[in-house]
Amino acid sequence: MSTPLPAAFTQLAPYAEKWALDTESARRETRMGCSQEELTTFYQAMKPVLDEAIQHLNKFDLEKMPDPERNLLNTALSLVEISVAVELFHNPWPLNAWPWEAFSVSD
Amino acid sequence: MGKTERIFETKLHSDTPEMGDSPLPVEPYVSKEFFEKERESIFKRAWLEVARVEELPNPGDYITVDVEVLKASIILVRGQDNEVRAFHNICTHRGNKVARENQGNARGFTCGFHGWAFGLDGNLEFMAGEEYFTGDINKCDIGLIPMTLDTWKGFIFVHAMDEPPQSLGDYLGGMGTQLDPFPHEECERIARYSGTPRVNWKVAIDAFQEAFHAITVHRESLPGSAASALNPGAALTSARFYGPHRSLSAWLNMEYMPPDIGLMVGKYGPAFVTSHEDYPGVNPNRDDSWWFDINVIFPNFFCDVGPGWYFTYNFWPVSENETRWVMDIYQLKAKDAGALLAQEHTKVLLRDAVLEDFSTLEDTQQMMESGALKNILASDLEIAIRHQMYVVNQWLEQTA
Repeated sequence: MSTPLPAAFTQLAPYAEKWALDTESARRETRMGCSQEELTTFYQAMKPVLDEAIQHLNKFDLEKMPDPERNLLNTALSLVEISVAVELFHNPWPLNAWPWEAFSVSD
Repeated sequence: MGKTERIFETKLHSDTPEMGDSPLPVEPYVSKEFFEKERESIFKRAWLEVARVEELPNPGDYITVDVEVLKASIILVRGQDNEVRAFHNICTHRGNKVARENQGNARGFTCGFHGWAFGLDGNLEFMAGEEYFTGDINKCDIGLIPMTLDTWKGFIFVHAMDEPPQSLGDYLGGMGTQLDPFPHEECERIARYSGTPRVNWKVAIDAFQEAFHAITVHRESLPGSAASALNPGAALTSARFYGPHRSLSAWLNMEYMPPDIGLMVGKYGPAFVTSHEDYPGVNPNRDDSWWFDINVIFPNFFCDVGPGWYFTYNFWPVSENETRWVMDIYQLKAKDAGALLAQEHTKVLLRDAVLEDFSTLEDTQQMMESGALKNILASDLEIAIRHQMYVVNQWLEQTA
């Protein structure tokens, strides 16, 4: 498996393939390139295990996280990124807003 | 006006200046001539925030900062003696830039034109072709040109004058005192965003120093947060004026429900929408239903603070209708994954909410330039906009 996850979270593997991204700009780009349906599917799959994932990840040092945990954390960071699209904007990007591409993110 | 009774009133500090209630002329937001006066009378006479000391942790670390309104590129560098200094990024030989990268660690700066080399302290250490320069030239006098610099709580400010009329501490006055207890030095930068909208710098600033707009502009990102039946106009809860600066406390609807994921990660660390405990250097008025403080340091720097986080804006005028904006978000260092996820929610929500703030800027600028409107109207909800214009005019008159 190219994107290994901790044993208790392997059901997230199809999402981790796409969303285990280690920079904010990569997570934002991916969000903006998705359909709302795709974001919603990811959201619904991961939200129920988010709290459990945080409790698992909190046992690890942020600086020395094994790859499976790092992938789970990056996937959770992506969930946070896309959550505002699902919960608030009902669209991948804010609609009544300046174009997101004009706004640069430094990682 | 004011036909119906006000349900909520902003508590104004007793030092609020008498600013009248007349409409504000549009001309200062569109006029090239007015902008040139601002360049001379404000930006060349005010302390300007350019960076934080954490950006230069080690001797030899440097960054360059473009300050378009001063037509300057400035090198900020930490010397071997640990002092942070500012220099104009210009070779004293024939004017080329000496630092070509935006940041780095160096033993000095060597001009790429003829190889003149300057030390971290600005001294000219190697003057290529020295023996061929005749005339009254002393190597000691042609080091890098220093710029006045001072720091406050790790914020680096520069001043275009060799001898500013006020020290940085005196300039910040009560605004500095209010913020002094906040642990800025314990926080680390978690995000930097930037953009250059086609808008006058004051139009841009004004969009960030009232909460009235939140009802409409942030109806999607922050629904029901800044207003309710208790405060239908999203009035600020309190406001303080310190000379040219101001501090505005935003009101939060205590019934506001943050989005689900924000609530879930907010349990594990401070986040923009979920943390309301007491904290040093915030909520100076001890207001109920307090959200966060918008602190505006004249002319173009914001340092907004909340419990366990702060964010800054620099609004850099490029011309009368172009502004380069930079936002930095800072938080206490995340100790674990949960805290990191809470930080991420703060970043993403603020970032997308600011995109909404930007939605009005270019349209406003374009229409102000049409000349159709001679004046804009500022309500008591927008007292900060009136104050910014009041201070701008004061500074222009002082040097007229």
